[in-house]
Amino acid sequence: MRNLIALVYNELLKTVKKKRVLVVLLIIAVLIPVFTYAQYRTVQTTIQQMGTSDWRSILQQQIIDNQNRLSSNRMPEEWKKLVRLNIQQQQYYLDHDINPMAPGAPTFVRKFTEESISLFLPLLVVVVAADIVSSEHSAGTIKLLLTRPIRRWRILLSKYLALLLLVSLIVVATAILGTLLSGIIFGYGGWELPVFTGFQEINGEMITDQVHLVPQWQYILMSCGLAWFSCTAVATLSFMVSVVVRSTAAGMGIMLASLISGSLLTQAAPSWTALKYLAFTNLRLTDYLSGTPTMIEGMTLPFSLAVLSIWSLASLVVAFTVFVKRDVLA
Amino acid sequence: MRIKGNPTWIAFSLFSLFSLFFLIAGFGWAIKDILHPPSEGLSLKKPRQERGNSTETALLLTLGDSLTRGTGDPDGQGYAGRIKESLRKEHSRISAVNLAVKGQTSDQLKDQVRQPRVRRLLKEARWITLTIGGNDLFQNSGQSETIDRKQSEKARKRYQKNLKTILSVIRKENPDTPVFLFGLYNPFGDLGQKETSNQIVGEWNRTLTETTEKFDKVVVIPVFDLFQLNPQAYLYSDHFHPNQKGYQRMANRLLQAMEENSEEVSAGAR
Amino acid sequence: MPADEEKILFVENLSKRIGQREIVTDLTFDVEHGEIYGFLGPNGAGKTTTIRMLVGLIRPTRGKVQIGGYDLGKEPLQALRHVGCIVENPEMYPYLTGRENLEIFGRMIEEVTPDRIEEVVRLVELDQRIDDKVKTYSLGMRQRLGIAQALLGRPKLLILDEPTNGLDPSGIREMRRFIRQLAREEKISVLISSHILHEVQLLCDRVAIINKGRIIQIGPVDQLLEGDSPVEWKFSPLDRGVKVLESLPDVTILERRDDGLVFTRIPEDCIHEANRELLHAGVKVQTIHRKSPTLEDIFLQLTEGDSLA
Repeated sequence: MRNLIALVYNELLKTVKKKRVLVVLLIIAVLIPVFTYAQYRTVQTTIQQMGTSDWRSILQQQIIDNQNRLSSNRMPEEWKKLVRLNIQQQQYYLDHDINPMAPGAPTFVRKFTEESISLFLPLLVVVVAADIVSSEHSAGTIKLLLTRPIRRWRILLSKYLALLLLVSLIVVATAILGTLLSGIIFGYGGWELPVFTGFQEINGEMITDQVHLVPQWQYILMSCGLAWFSCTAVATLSFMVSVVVRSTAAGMGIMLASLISGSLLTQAAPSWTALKYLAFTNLRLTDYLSGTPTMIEGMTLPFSLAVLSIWSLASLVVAFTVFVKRDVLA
Repeated sequence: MRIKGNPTWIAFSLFSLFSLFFLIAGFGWAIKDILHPPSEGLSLKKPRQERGNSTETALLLTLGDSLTRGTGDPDGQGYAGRIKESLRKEHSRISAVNLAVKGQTSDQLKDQVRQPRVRRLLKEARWITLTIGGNDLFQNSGQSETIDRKQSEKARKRYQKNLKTILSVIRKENPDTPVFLFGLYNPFGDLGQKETSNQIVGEWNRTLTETTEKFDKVVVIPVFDLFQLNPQAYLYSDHFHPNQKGYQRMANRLLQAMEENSEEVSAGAR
Repeated sequence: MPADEEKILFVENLSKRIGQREIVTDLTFDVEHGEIYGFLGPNGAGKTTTIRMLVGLIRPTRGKVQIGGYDLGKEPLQALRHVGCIVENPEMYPYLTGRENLEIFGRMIEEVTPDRIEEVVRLVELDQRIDDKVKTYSLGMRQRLGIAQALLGRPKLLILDEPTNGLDPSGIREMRRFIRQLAREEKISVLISSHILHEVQLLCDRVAIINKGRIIQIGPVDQLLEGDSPVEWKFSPLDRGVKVLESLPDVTILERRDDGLVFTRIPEDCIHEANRELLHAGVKVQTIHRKSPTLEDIFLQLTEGDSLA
C-alpha cells in the first residue's frame, strides 16, 4: 500500500513536472475569461435589444422566439420537439418567478460546466491521459519502469490512480478558476439561488411532477460530480488507447477524432438510435440534471452511466491485459 | 528512512485526492437526486406558498392564445404586460403568470386548465384574464376571405362547449375571482367579403356572451369595435394580431372593467 | 530459493520467437560473482533481445533465467531485486533533475534511502550537477546517471547494454575505469554487451560470442582471442615474393591485394624463417605486421567463413 502511494506520487510528479497539467490549467485560465466575456456580451446584447434589463421580458421574448421557430416548417421534427420542451421549461421558470440566467459567478460556473461536459473538459482530460503511458514508450523510460522489482499491473494501476486524481484536479480547477475569474465581472453572489432540477422527459413529454428546487451550490456540486464521471470515462478510454498505441500523437489524435465525431454525430443524426450505445454520445450527464432533452430517444441517466461504465471497464481490461503481457521491444 | 517527497507536490497530491472525494460525493448526490428526488420537494407548491403567505402577493393570471402572449407587440408585452404595469402602481406586490400559448384553440385551453399546476394557479389568482376563440374561428372557417359557413357553424358549437367547460373549471377552482374574457374582433374587416366575416364574428361574439351569462363574475370585454373602422392602424403587419397601439387599447378597456370591479373584488377577497 | 550460490546469473536454453522468426535460439551461459562478462556480437545478433529477456522486458518463448538463484519467470520480483540495468540508451526523464530521477526510481525499491542516493551520486561523480535538469546533461553524464540509477538498489548484477555507445574516447576510457572499479570494489558482477571486440578485450574476464541468435563460443577473453591471426607482408617484387612464400610448408596465402599487401596465415616461429627465405631470393621486405584480429576475423575463424557472408 505504501509502495503504491509512492508510485502514484511518482506519476503525479512526472505529469506535473512535464508541464502537462500546467498547460491544461493555462488553457482553462485563458479560456474562462473569454467565455465570461462572451456571456457578458450576450447578456448585454439581449438587454439592449429588449430595451430593458427585466429578465422576465427577456425570457418571455425567448419563449416567443422559440414559438416562432416552431411555426417554420423547415425545421425537422426532432428539433421541434426539443424546442417545444424548451418552451415548456422556460415557461416554468417564468411562471414561478425564477431567473434561470441570474448573473453571478455561480451561475456562470453552472452554465460553463453544462456546456463543457461534452467537449471542452474531455479534451483537456485527453491532453493529460493520452500521454501518461505512451510517453514512457516514446521516451524509452518504460524500460526503467518495468525492470524495477514491481509487478507490471501495479505500475499501470499507479498510473491509472494518478490519472483519476488529475481528472479530479482538472474538474475542480475548472470550477474554482471559473468562479474566481467570472466573479470579477459578474460578482460572487448567487450561491443560494434556487435552481430547478428533476425535469424528466418521457415519450417527448416534459414530466414535471418530480421537479424540485435545489440551492445553486448543490446544483454545481452535483454537475461537477457528473462531469467528473464523464471525464473519468474519457480518461479511461484515452488511457487504454495510450497503452495500446504507444504514440502520444496518434493516441491523442484517435481520442480527439472520436470525441468530436461523437458530439457531431448526435447533432447530425439524432434519429440514428444505435448511436446511444457509443461512449461519447453519453457524456452529457448534466442534461439529466437540468432537464435538457436528450438528442436521441431512450437515453436516461442509468442508461448513460451503464454505457460509460461498460466502455470504461472494457478499456481497463484491455489496457491491463496488453500492458502486462506485452514484450517491450523497442 | 524512505525518500521524502517535496512538500509542494505532496500538498498538490493531497489537493487532488481531496478533489476526487469531493467530486465522488457530488456524483453520488446527483445520482440520488435524479433517481430518487427528495419527497418534500416534489412540487413547487412549497416555496410559492411561503412567499404568498408572507407578502400577500396578488397574482394576475393570464390565459389564452397569442393575443395574451403579446404576439405582434414589438415590446413583447401585449395587453397582459401593460395591465401588469398598471396594476403594479396600485398593488405594491404583484406577480403575473402568463400561461398563454401562441395559436392555442379552445380545445387546447380546455386541456390546459385541467392541468394540476394550472389549477393551483387558478386557485391563487386574484385576477384572471383570457383571450380564446380567435384560432377556433379563423382556422376552422378557412382563415380569411373564403369563409365556409358550414365549417364555421360546426366550430362555433364546439367553441361554445369548450368555453363552458373552461369557465366551469375556473369557477370550480376559484369561485370568487373575477374573470375577464375578451371578445373577438374581425381582422379582415377591411377586405372583401367583410359583410360575411363581420356577420360570423358577430355570431361568435353572441355565443361568447351567452355562454358567460351563466357564470358569476365573468366579464366580457368587447373589442370588436376597436378594430372595426381602421384595422390598419391597430393591427400588426401580419394583419391578424394587434400592434402596440391595438394592445394599448385592449389594455385600456380591460382596466376600465377592472376598476369597476375593484370594490367588489376587495370585498370578496379571501 | 537460491539454487546455485556460485552463479549470479544462470541462463538455460533461452529462446525467443517473434512471428516466424527465431531471434534468439537456445542460449545457455552463466555469470559468476564479481566477474565482468562480455556479450559480444555484431549488431542484430540478438544481444539486445537477450538482455531484455534477462531483465523481464521480453517474455522468453522457451528457456530459463535465474538471477541470484531466483527464477525470473516464477519469482520476478526477487530476481529483479538483484539486478541493475541500462538497456540501450540511458533514458531518464529529461524534464526532471538528476536527483528527482534518482528519487523516482529509488521510491520503486523498498530499501533505498536518501543516504543511498547521496552515495551513488558521489560514486558516479555527479555531485556537482545532480540538481540540474537532465536535459542539460552531456551523453556521458546521462550514462553515469543511468549507472547511478542502476546501482541504487545495491544490485549483485549490473547489466549494461553497449555502455560506451556514443561516448567520446575519453568518456569511453572513463567508463571502462569505472566499470572495473565497480567490479573490484563493490563486488558487483557486470554483464556487458558490445559489438566492439576491443572493448570486450580490455574489460571482460569472460566472453560469450553470439551471432544470428546463437552462442558460438564461450571462454576467457585471452584464450578466445589468441591464436593465428593473419600476418600482413609488404615486399617487392611481388610475384617473386609470393612464390617464395608459397614454397614454404607452414605458410598459407590468405589474400593478395592489389596494393601490394599479402596476407598469410603463419605460425609465430616461422616468421623469421620466411623472412630469411625472402631475403635470400632477393625480395625486399618492407613490412611484416601481425594484424590484431577483428570480430569478423574471429567469426571467420569460428564458423569457417560462412557466418558473416
